[in-house]
Amino acid sequence: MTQTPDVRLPAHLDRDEVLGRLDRVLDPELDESVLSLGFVESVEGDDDGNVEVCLRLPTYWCAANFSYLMASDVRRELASVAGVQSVAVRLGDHFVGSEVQEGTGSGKTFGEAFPEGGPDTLEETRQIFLRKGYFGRQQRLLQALRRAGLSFGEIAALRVGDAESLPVNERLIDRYLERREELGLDCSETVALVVNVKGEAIPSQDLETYYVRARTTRLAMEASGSLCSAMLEARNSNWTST
Amino acid sequence: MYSVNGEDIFVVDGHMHFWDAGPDNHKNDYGNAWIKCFYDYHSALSPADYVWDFDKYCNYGEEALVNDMFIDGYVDVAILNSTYLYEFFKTGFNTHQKNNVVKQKHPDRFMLCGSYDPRDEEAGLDRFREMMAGYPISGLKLYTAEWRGDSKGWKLNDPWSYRYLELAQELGIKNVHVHKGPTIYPLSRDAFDVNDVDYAATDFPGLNFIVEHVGLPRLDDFCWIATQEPNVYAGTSVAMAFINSRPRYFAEIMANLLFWLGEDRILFGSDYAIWSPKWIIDKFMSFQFPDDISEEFGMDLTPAIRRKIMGENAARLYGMDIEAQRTKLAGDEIAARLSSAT
Repeated sequence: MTQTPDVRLPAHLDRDEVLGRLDRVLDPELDESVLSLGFVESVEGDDDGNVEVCLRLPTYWCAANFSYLMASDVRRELASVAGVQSVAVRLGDHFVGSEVQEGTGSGKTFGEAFPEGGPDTLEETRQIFLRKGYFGRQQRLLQALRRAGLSFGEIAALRVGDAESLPVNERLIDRYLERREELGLDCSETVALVVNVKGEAIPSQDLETYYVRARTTRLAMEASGSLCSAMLEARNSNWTST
Repeated sequence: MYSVNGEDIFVVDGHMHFWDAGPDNHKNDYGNAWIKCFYDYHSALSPADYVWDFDKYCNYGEEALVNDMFIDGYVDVAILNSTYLYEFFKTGFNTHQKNNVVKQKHPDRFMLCGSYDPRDEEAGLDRFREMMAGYPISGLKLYTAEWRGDSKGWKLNDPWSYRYLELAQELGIKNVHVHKGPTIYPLSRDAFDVNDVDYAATDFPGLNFIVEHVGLPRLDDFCWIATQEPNVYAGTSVAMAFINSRPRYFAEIMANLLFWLGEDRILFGSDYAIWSPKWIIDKFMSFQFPDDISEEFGMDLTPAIRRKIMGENAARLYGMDIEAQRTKLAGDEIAARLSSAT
């Protein structure tokens, strides 16, 4: 379910670039873009290049740390768009909406915005979820390879350079290699296609065990995406937006 | 009791509530936001015919509960959870005191869960003893995300929590239900964490830890812990509710639970009144895994597995003899209503 946000921008701001930037902001837990999840309610800019983005998350209680990550990523992504002078992120109908808005607006770390709330920065949280997302993306690829009839032995022997000729949807490969690169793992053509989060190849005899674990990680993320999109839909139809 | 092909399936609803979230009971805006969020869960996943209006949802009362559980909903015995939330609701959301009122009217139909909050420290130990002495408590329901003053939660393996678990064990408690589910806890420390269950399960091998909502969305972390700890069980409320609108996800969750935990450690729960047991049970009893899932995991939802999940596993954990319990239930007022209805 993709909801198109209400976008109002002056002529000098490129709508496609703005939306393209927002599409790069991920819900860390779901490993999906906030745009495709329908979390972006509106984007509004004035003639001076001041942009305001309103986010609406699936529940009033969506975790402060994840909310903070998403709001600060929106701000960072849009700040680099040509012609943008300032970015404000509003978090509608959320239990710490004003703290997130004020904190990200003034460039505070999470720890400064929520002194009682745990770690100072959310870098570790972000890394944990980037790695979970890596497992998820890799697992979808592995599952497609298995369904295409490859054995675990054949999969273990594949190199990155073989990716182009594989009998699976290209997008699965792109999403996997994109995240692999983002994690700083070697993506050269001669390196094994399936590596763990440390970049080590999985020996053929361990690949099945590795596969069944990644299957559960991927499911956890999908199930939660499922719940979040159902919740957002219900929230939008049950209550008048404020 | 659910009957299929002449066979009676014993049903234990492992997770349900009797709450009062009407406006009179709201202590502040959080109370209102809380029940609205619950209502979103209710309307997001229930079939359209089972969606209530919001007023009824806030305070549905005893008659609706008895009807939805036992008359319409096939449930034989229900485990009444207690969730206090005194920071949001003046007289609490659903306390063991209020839950006990309905239990007293139908004593063999309900098992009552009590609770503790380790932040009460020393002073709470006596209150815990009083609760155990004054109420027919069969198990505990712990809610680690509960707010208390400046504190936004606690962990099962906090030192004071261990004192309470020791005391509970001394007083005969065997089963501890722990809410580890969709994030309501606001700040980051616990937002994706089921690890405290790992410590507590290792340190208290004599207790069973039923992880309610199977840690969703941290299902993977839950599965790793449950694989290592034989006394960790899957409470499937919330996961069960996917069966209507997201049957494929439901199938995958169930297949993964069977794969990692096996068929003896999975318990049914409706999370009533978030969802009603009737439609979940109707769907579950005729549910089959899609072919590709059944093939990949090498398993099916057999009648024997369904029976275990619906009631036999919970009965075993609570030391309940199903035949003896059926005999007791056959003489109660609800049984009379059931037989006059047919």
